Amino acid sequence: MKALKKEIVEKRFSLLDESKKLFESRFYDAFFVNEYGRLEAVRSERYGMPFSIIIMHVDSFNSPAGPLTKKDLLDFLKKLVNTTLRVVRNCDVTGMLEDKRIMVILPHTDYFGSLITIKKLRKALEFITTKGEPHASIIFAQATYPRDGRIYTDMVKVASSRINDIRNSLWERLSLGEKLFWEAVATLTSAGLSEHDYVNFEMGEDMPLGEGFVNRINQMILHEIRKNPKRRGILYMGIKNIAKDTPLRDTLNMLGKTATKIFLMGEKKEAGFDVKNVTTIALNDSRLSEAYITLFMSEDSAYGLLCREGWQGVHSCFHTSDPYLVEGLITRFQRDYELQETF
Amino acid sequence: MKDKKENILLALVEKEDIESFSGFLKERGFATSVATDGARAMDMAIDDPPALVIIDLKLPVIDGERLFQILKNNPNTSRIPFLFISDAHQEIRGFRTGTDMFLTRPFQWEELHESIRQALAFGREKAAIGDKDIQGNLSQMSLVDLLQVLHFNKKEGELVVTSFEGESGIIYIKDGQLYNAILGEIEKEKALFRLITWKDGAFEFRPKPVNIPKRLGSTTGNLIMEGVRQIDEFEKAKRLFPDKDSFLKTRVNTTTLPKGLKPIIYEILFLVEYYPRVRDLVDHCSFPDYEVYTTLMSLINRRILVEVKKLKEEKEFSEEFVSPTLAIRIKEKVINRWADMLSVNSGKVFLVATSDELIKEFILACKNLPDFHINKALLSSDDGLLLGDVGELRLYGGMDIVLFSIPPVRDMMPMIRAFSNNLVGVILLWDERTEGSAAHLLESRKEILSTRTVPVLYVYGDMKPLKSSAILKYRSLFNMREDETVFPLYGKKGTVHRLFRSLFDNLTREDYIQGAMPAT
Repeated sequence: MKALKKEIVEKRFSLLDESKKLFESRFYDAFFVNEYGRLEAVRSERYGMPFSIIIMHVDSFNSPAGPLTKKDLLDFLKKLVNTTLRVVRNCDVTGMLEDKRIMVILPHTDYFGSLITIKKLRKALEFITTKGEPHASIIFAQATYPRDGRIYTDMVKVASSRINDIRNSLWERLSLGEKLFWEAVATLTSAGLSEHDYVNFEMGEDMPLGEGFVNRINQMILHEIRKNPKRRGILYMGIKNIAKDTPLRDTLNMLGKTATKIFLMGEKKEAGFDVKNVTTIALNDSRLSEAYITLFMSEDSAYGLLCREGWQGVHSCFHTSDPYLVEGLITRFQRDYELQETF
Repeated sequence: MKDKKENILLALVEKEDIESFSGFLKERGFATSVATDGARAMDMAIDDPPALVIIDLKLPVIDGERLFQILKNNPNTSRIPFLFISDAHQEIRGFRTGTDMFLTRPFQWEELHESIRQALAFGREKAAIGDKDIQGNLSQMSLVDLLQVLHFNKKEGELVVTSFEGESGIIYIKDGQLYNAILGEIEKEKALFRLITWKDGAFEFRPKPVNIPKRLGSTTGNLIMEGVRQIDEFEKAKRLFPDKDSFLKTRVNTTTLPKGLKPIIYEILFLVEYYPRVRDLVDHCSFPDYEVYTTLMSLINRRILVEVKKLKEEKEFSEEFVSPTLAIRIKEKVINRWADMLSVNSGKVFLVATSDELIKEFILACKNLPDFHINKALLSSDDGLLLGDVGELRLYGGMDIVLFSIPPVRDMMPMIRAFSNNLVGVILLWDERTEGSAAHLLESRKEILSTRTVPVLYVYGDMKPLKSSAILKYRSLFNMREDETVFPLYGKKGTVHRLFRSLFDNLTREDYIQGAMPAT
């Protein structure tokens, strides 16, 4: 009886088609995924727990060998689905949302948890996205209950609109994902941008903005963290060299326990510098002694500031509030310096 | 006797990991013990609790996560911090943020060393008195007793004291001597003596090198004795002191004061112009509270200062400024608006002005609001950049309304989106002299409203009276909605009260949530 019930459920809700045997039974159809999402929103409301959704959108293919056949596309889809199912947890629900879109529902997962899953998926899928034949561009967009909506359909709308945001993000537009961190910094600090999310400016003595601006920004971010100590986040602050007299020290000392991971970086670190709750890293790279870096991501905002010192102490700067760009820069930085790839 | 090395238990599977961790830790002066399966690791941890467990999640027999659950629930091992290592990040049930760490391969060894150092520091904090850290509750051990213990044991480090309301202060101690005390924006004796009065709250002493100059001028014993004396004297004399909510007026010309007076007198007479309310003046004066009150008494007795009761209008406004019911409704609205299940305790109002002077004037006009705090450090900073929290209004129920100044220049646009979390309103300020820059205000308003839908308030900051023709001009210039008003900063008394009331009323209105940008 139980086996029969299981079979009915599988036939009803999964894309397990005996004649084609395309996917595992854990890969569901849009009806089941959407129903599950609605129920998960109700459960989260009831128990006060977050949950997230990820939409994987297959944006385009690049096939030097010529047009793709139906078989090529099916093979691609199989690899995509099987790899996704291998990466996600048993409790996660994966299924086809619509043409070109796969949905993963992540129960009990907050914003940063969903970003970590996206990182894992992106890495695991590299063999079909950047190394495979054909290459495929997949956009990963997420939404989290309740920050992006309390109703499941609203969350889907938010995640869908983020696919466009990601497509329009400078990270994608300038193909920064293919560059090393310092190459990306060079590109961004010399981009001459004045859009609402991306602005270049110069900083230095006798200019409207002096180097005090970086300290002000860092102090403001630390203040935000102090005001919301329970909100998860990550902050990298590159302050050239980690010296005992850094103006940030008192503010850092006052922070107390916080759910934000704070990293203070420089080319060198003065002996005896020790601040609780802050990880200090001397990276022994002279490029750090000529640049200020602030990369901050929290559950509800992102900010990135990059300043490169040039001739006569004038810094070429770039700042942004684009979360995809900031996330991309953080990931690139972590990879290039073999730091922990975490949020 | 030689110091015992801290022991780190390596519960690892891979031979390579064991060798590299053992070598790395031994080089840095730690002792290590090794277990290659979960059962053995559990026995070793219970027999001789280590300072830290570095654990591979793929441990055989009992896996890493399960072993963590077991040891975490054992009272003898519950304080041990865990450093998990794995190939990929994964959620661990019961993971204690701030105590446990998670690292994924490959490791950057300096980062790893930092993580171990931090994990050990957390572990030490939880250990007992001795050479280790101290933490506890002020109701069990008063700050005076604690300072004496640290003094006699010639300790060095930071003593962090946190009240139940979440306010926290730090006392820096070196060789048993008190070097400085910081409480919010105040420091030295004033901060120390205030902290000594705290009867409830938590404390923790973090042993670490203190590299700051000594700013407390006396010995620990003298400071404690003086602090206790001032508290006793204050208690005895407090009924003679001016009421905290009364206002003071000076009867002398403060620009022509004679030389040779005590520094505290100059400071009080300077501050009284900006902070006429006793409570605010005492908060902003750098001298200890008791000394400020006794000096105030003396100045009042000599008729240099006059104590005036609250003006009728001010009383009316302050008492009814924000009722507890309204404050709770505001808090509910902010929580719902941001859909944040974590404790939301502040809402942000952007101040966008055509000049920094207008921001300063606006903040000065707000200073008489009940429980309004000015960020003096930012307002008086000379880096020429008025950016960030310039003031804070504390409402009933622990809700703060933070006034955040943001310059209306295109270069600063990314700051708007980045810092607009918990945004509950926007205040635009201009005057006749700078109205030519109104286009920048409009651009900033557009940018803010494209990110968040919040009420906008318009403040005219000129001394000149605002004529009805000017109101019409500004209404048209800013394309204001019918229900929006221009508030003159220098009009009738209580403008700022009315402005905030309008903001809060808007905020609590249902249609505000769905409100759109003004028609263009």
